[in-house]
Amino acid sequence: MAEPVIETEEQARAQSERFRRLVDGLKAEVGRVIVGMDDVVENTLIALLAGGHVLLEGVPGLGKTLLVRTLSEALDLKFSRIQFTPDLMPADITGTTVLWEKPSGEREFQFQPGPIFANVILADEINRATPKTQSAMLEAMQEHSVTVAGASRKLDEPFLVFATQNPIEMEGTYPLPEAQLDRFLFKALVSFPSLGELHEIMNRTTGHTIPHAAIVATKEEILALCQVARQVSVAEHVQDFALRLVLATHPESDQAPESVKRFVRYGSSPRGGQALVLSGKVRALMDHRYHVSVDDLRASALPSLRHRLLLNFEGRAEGIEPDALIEEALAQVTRGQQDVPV
Amino acid sequence: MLRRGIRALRLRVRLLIALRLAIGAVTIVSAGATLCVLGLRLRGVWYPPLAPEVALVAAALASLATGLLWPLPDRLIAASADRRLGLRDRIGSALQFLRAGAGSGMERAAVLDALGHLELLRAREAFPVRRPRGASAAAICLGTLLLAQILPIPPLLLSPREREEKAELREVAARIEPLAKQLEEAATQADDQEAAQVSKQLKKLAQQLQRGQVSKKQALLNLSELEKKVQRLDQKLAKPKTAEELADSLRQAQQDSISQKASELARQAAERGDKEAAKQLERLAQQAKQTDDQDKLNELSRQLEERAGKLGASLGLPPGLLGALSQSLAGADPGLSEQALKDLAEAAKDWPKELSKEELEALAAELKELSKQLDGSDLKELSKLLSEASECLKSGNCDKAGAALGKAAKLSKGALAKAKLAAVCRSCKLGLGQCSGKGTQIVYGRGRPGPQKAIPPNAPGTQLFAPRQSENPGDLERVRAQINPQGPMLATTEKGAPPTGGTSRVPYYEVISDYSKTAEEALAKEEVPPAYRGTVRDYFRALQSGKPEKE
Repeated sequence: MAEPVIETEEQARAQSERFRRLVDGLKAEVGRVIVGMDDVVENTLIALLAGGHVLLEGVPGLGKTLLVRTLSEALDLKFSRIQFTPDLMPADITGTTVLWEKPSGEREFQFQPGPIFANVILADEINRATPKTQSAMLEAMQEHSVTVAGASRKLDEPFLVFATQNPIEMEGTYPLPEAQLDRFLFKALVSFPSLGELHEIMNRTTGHTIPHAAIVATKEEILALCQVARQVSVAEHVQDFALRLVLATHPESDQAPESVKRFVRYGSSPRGGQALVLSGKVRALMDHRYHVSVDDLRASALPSLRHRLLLNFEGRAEGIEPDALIEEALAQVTRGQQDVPV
Repeated sequence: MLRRGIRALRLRVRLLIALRLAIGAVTIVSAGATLCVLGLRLRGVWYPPLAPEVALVAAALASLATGLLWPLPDRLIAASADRRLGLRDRIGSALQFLRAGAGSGMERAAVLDALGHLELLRAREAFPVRRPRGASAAAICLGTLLLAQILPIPPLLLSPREREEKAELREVAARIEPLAKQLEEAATQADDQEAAQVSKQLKKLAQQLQRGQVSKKQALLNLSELEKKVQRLDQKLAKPKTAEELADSLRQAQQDSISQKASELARQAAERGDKEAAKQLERLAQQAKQTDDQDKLNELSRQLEERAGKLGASLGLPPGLLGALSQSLAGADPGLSEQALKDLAEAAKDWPKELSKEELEALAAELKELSKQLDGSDLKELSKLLSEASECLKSGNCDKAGAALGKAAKLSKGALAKAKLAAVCRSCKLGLGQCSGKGTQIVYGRGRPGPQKAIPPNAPGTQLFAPRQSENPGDLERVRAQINPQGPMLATTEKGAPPTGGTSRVPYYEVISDYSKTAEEALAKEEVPPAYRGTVRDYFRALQSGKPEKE
């Protein structure tokens, strides 16, 4: 259900108000189950409302799966979890055509949908599957459709993939190819909770009742609000900032800082710019605004770009974190902004 | 409305830019000016005293103008205001949406949102006036410049010649200061603005000389300029001559008259072949030149009259008359002058027979000169009668001249006594008729030393130029000569008569400043050989200060 184009400021105000109510409700419901992880929760919500996928990186047991499950509960969306293992086959994800015998005795081929046919997919430990299996996700993530036995099948909207990967146990894993990484809107880093948060986690999960999130919105409402977010305006100088930032991640660019030129092999693709602007639009609405600001782009820079930078050998050998390079690129672009000389 | 808000912001930003540029310009110019001032002062080169300040003001104004015209596009102002006030690109985005037509509802809502924020926005909050980073440097540079202009250069940095010059200039300053004070007092008394201004200029010059802030050349130029002004003011503010001054000048006139007339008679005697008489008359002239004693001068006058009678030559105005007037004014019997004038009135009856037209005219000229001398004193009535007699003689009417002289004789006794009393009263500052006239000593430190006991023996009396022996006598005039530590010195000089000793027709006081200036310029350009420079300087210094030149 596509939301009509917003033509008047009254409509804009109303939709914006509706958007904020939903986000606040979602935050409240997720907050009932999830302790801490404010940034991750916010980025996850932004990706959800921007219609993008999220790669969650963190050690096991930090609540990544719980977060995704809670979110799907609050939105009344169909949730599906795929545990990626080395022996997982593409058909295990997309589904397959099986020979089906009718009660009348007739036999026919019938498509048996895989777990990908859901609204919210949790691709757990995605880097443990072989590249062949991983690539099965490519079409689904980009085109929101799968092709099985020559027939293309549309996936139900909204379609969101939340993939997790363990940064420590790298043995026997297959790092995600750049093409697939690029399809994630955000890469969120799930950090270990603080002592206070751990106390709260213990209190909530070891009692006789386990909290659950209530339904806040339907998938139709989510789809409509995604359309509202896309109508937020971006001024040229703000968009220019986003594109300069993307260019600053490329070592061959004049705008790149020295560290990027030294440690980066390849910078962000144009999808990085799209991720910045799209997430900026959602952030603007969440901040009671009707336009994207440079601050929105700054806030989205790390999750949007950190998985799109490909470090060279020297960068990997030096243990350079992409976040540090992005921060330098941000500083460089900010310095390039014109200001009055007072 | 959005543009109006941005215009207000732009004005504020331009003012701040102008301020910053002005501070920068002041820093740079004052630093440069400090170096220039130090360099010029150490080299002893004169520069206009206010030049650094003028340069500073000009630089500040230019930078202010530049700042106020600084190009500032709307989007830049908007983006800066957004950043400074944390408006999250509201104004900048709204401005761009408006330019693009604000077609969508979201854009219109963004514009309204920006307007709402702009209404609450104060330009001073977005662009507050902070102390610019360069303010301290500017203050330091300005302070250094002022110190470089005001503070004297340490003697260690000066050459011996410069040190000597500075010392001389300080001496000149010490001489100028009392003169400035006198002039200030005179200006206050006479309520004369011009005099007050000149006294201020003199004070300032003395101060600059004391601090060594002006070069010698500039000091001389300034001095000669101020000297002319002081001369003019001196004539303007001159008080009536005192009885003593008048007596002194009459005695000098008598001395000059005896000397001149004796020389003339000697020449006539020599022409006639009477060498003995010529020799005696020459000796008489010499004696007259050498003596200041009034009795001796009277005796010489008497001898001259006798010699003239023997030679049958006309003596013109008898020198004895001048002596009689001088004595009467100096406190002797006023009857002396009355008698001398009576004798002259009597003699007038025979003048048409005894004197030629030229001789009558010469006598008239002498009477006119005497009248002029008396005119500047309390004897104006007497002066008028003498002037009348002179005019009558010029027209050949000796009877009328005699009558005027007779009237003058009658008037003289009382007038002279009154003038004497007025001088005494003035000196005791009680006013005419309000003091007894006793016990008051008239003391003055200028003029030529004479026999009067009131004049200090060491009073300066250098006469620099006074052509007393001219073929055609000119007008005797009291003029202001030099500035001495005791004040301006008055001297008698003769104007309009060609001096016998040279071809110059201009008194030195009218040309000394120009000649000094030319000499200094020649010295500065090194046109004068080094060996002679000291001599040239000493000569002009002697003329300026009234000291005898060094040999």
